[in-house]
Amino acid sequence: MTSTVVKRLLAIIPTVVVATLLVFSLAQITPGGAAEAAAGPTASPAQIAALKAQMGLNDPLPVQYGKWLWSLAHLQFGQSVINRQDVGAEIMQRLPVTIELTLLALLVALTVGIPLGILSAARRQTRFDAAVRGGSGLGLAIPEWLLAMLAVDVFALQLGWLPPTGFTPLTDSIGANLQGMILPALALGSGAAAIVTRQTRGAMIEVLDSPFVRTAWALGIPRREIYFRFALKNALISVITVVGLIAGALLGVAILIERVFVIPGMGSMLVDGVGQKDFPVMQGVTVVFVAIVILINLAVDLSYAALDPRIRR
Amino acid sequence: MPSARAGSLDGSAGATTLLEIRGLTVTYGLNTRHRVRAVSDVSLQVGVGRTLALIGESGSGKSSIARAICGLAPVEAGSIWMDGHELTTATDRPVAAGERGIQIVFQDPVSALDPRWPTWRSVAEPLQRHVDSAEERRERALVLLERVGLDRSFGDRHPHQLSGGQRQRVTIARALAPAPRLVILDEAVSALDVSVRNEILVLLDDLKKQGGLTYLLISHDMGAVAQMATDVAVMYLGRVVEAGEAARVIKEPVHPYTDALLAAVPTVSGDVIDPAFRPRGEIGDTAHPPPGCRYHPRCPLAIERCATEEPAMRTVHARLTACHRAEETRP
Amino acid sequence: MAQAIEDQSRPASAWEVTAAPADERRRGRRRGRIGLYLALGFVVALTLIAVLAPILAPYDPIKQDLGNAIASASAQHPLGTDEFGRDVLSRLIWGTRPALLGVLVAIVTACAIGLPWGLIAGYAGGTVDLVLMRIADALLVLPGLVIALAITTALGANLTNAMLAVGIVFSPILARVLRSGVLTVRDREYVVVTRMYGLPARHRMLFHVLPNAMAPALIQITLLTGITFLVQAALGFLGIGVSPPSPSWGDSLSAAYKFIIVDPAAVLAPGIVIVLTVLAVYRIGDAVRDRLEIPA
Repeated sequence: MTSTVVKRLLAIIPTVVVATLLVFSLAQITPGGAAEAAAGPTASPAQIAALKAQMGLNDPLPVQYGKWLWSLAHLQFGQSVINRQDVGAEIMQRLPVTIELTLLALLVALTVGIPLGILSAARRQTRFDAAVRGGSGLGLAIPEWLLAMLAVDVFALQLGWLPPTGFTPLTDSIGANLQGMILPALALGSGAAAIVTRQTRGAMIEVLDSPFVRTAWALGIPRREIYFRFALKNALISVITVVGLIAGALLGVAILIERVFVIPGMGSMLVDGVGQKDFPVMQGVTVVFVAIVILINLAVDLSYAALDPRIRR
Repeated sequence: MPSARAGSLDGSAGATTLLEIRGLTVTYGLNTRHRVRAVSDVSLQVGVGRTLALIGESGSGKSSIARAICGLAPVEAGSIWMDGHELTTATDRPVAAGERGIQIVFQDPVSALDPRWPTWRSVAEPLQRHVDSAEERRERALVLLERVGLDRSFGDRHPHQLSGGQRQRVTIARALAPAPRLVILDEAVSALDVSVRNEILVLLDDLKKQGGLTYLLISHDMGAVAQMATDVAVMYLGRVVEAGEAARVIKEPVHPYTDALLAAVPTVSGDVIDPAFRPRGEIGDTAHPPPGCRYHPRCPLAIERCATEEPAMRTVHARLTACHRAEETRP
Repeated sequence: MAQAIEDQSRPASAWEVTAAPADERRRGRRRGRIGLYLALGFVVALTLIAVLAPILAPYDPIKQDLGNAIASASAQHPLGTDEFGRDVLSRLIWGTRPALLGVLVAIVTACAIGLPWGLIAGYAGGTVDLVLMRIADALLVLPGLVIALAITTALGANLTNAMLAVGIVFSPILARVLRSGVLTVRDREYVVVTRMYGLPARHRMLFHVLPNAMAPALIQITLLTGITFLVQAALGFLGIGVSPPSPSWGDSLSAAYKFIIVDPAAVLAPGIVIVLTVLAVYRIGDAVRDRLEIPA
C-alpha cells in the first residue's frame, strides 16, 4: 500500500507544477505589467519602478517562481493591492465558509443520489425509474445558479420557508448558519446529485447483471444480502471515482452560488479581485482552490486503491 | 549464407535481378522492452518480370518483409536492393522505395482508401508531387481506372459506394499511377469473395503482361499462388525454409513444412491429401523461436541434430532449402 | 478472412458510416425532426436578431428613465424595465450580440489551441505525445471557472478576454478528444501509404488524418458551444463581461435578481432566453452526432 501512496504522490507532481506555473505566469503576461496594475493609473514611472523592485519583478524568472513557491509553502500570499489586507488572513476567514458550502452540497448529492440510484436500479423500467431518470436529466440540464435563483424565488420569497440571503457564521449560531445554508447547498448539489444518481444506477445495474450476482440469486441467497454485501460494495467503487470529479467542479460552481446567496466565501473574494487586477488575491485564491481539488483527487485515488485490491500494485 | 535466387533458384546464372534482399532482419520495438524479431536473416531475389510468391502461415514474417521493402518496417540488420540501389540506407526509406519504382497493394480494401476522398483523388494522389495540374491528374486517374476494368464514372464515387472487389481495383489503379516496376501484393485478394478473387487475379496477370511488371505476391492462399507464381519462397517463423521455381516446389516439395502446407489445400474432389510428413503440435511463437531448426518441434522427421543445429540453405533437387534431411525426403 | 469480414463491418471512419442503410437513416430522422427544426430556427432567429438589433429593439437599451424604474410588464414595455428604467426587451435584443460574439470567440480560441495540440500529440506519438497530454491532464484536473477567472484577471476584465479565457480552459478537452480520434486513424493504410509518394507529413496530417479524426471533436465542439452560453451568462451574472451600461444577458439576469423581492418575475425573461438557447444548441449537437453516427 505504501508504494501505491508514493506512486500517487509522485503522479500529482506534474499537475502541481503545471498549475503553479500557470498561475505564476499569469502575473507575468498581464498586459501593462503587474507593477503598473498595482500602482494604479496615477503612479509616476519612478513609483512604478520602485514597486517593481519591491515586488521582486526584476529577478530572473526562475528565481521569481522559486521565491513565490516558497512563500506559498509558508502560506504567505501577500497583500491585496486594493485594500492592503493580508490575503492569507482573509482566505483563512473565507475558506471554511466555501468548504462548508461545498461539503454540504456534496452531502446532498450523496444522500439524495445514492439511495435514488440504488432504488432506481432495483426498480428498473418502472415509472419510478423513469421519474428518476427524468429528474436527473433536468438536474443536469439546468445550471445550479439558475436553479438557485428559482429556488430563492419559490422557497424564500413566495413561500417564505427559508431566508433568501444572508449568512450567519457557524461560530455565532449553528442553527441559523444551517438554515441559511439549506437552499444554497440544495441548489449547488442539484447537478452533482443528478450525476451521482445516474452513476450509482448504472453501476448497480452493471453489478446486478453480472454473472457473479446471478449465481448468487440462483443459489437462493436472500435479496437483501445480495444487495448489501455484493452489489453495493462494487457499485460504490465507481461512485467514488465520480465524487472526485464532482468535488472539483463543485468548488468552481460554488463561486456562483455564493454570489446568488451573498455568502462571504472565497469565490466572492476571487470575483472581486478580477476587475481590479488584484494579483495577490487572484493568485492566492486560485492556488488554494487548486490545492484543494488536487488533494481531493488524491484522496479519491487512494481510497479507490484501498477498496479495489486490483488497483493496488 | 547463399541467397535464394528466385530468378535462378537452381544456382545457375539466370534472369536479371530486380529486387534483392540480403540477410534481412526485421525487428519491431527495437529499443523497447518488447522486441519482436519478425524476420531473421532472410535472403531473396526477385527477377525482372517474374512473380515471386512468399507463402507461409500468419506470423511467418511475410508481411513484415513487404513492409520492410517499402520502408514501413524497422530493419535491424541486412540490406534491400532495388535495381542495384540500396534502399535500407536511405534517409527517407518509403520515399526511396517509391522513387525506385516499388508500390504496394494491401489486403484490406476498407482502410486502403480515404473514405472522404472521391476515387479519382485517391488514385491520383501518388502523382501529386510531380504533376501540378489537378485536371491532368484527374484525367490520368480516370485512365488508370479504365485500365483496371472500371468505368470512368467510378472516379467520382466514394469508397463506400463500391464493392470490395471494385475497391481493390481502385487500390491497384493507385499503385500503378507512378508507373512502378515492382508491385508488392500483400494478401491483395485474401479479403475478397472467392468469385471476385479470380477476376482480380486475372486482372493482375493482364496488367503484368501489359506493363512489364514484376510482382512480389504475399499470400497464404495456395490457389492464388498456384495461378500466378513463377517462383515461390516458403517461410516459417521468420525464416525461409524452401525457395525455388514454383512448378518444382509446389509439385515436389522437399522441406517437410512445405509439404504440410501444400497438403492442407482441399481439392475440388473433396479428398484431403495426406501430407507425407504430417506436422505435430501448434505453430511456434516468432518472439521465442525454438533452438536449432525452428520447425523441429513439429517435424516428424526431426532428429537430434535438428534441435541443436540450425540448418543452412543449400541447393537440393534444383531448389534451395534449409533442412538437415532434405536429400531423404524425396527420392 | 474472418478478420477481413470483421473489418468490413466495422466502419473505417465516421464519414464512411453516413452511408448507413437508407431505412435506418430515415427512421432516425423522423424521430426528432420537429425539435431539430425548432432548434435550428431558434438559432437562426437569434442571429438575425443580433444583426438587426438596431432596427428591432423598440428602445435605446442604454437610455435611462429613472422615473419608470422596475416597472412590470406593460404594453409599452412588454418585459418591463430594470432598475434604471431601461427597457428589458431592448436590452435582451441587444444582448444577443455579445452573447453570440462571445461564444464565437471562446469556441474559436478553444479550436485554435486545442486542435493543433491534439493533432500533433496524436500524430507524433512518443515523448511529444506524453508531454503534451500530461499537460492537458494537469489542466483538466483544475476547476474551470476558477482558472477562467484567474486568466481574465491577468488579461483584463472585459468580454473578449473573459471569452478568451474560457476558450483556453476548454482547449485541453478538445485536444484530448481529437488526439484519440487521430490515434485511431493514424495507422490506417491510406495514411501510411502516402509516405511512399514523397508527400510531406503536413499533407498527411491535414488532408487525411485531421478530416477523418474530426468527428468526435466536432461533437465535442457543439457540446462546448452550449456550455459556453451558460458560462458566459454566469460570468455576466458575476459582473464579468461587458462593462456597464452595455447590455448582456448575464447582466440582465443579475440586475433582475437584485430586485427579485420587488419583482420576482423579472428573472424569468433573461433566464428563459438563456436556457432556450442552450437547449437549442444541444439539440443541434445531438443532430450532428446522429448524422455522424458515433456511438455516444
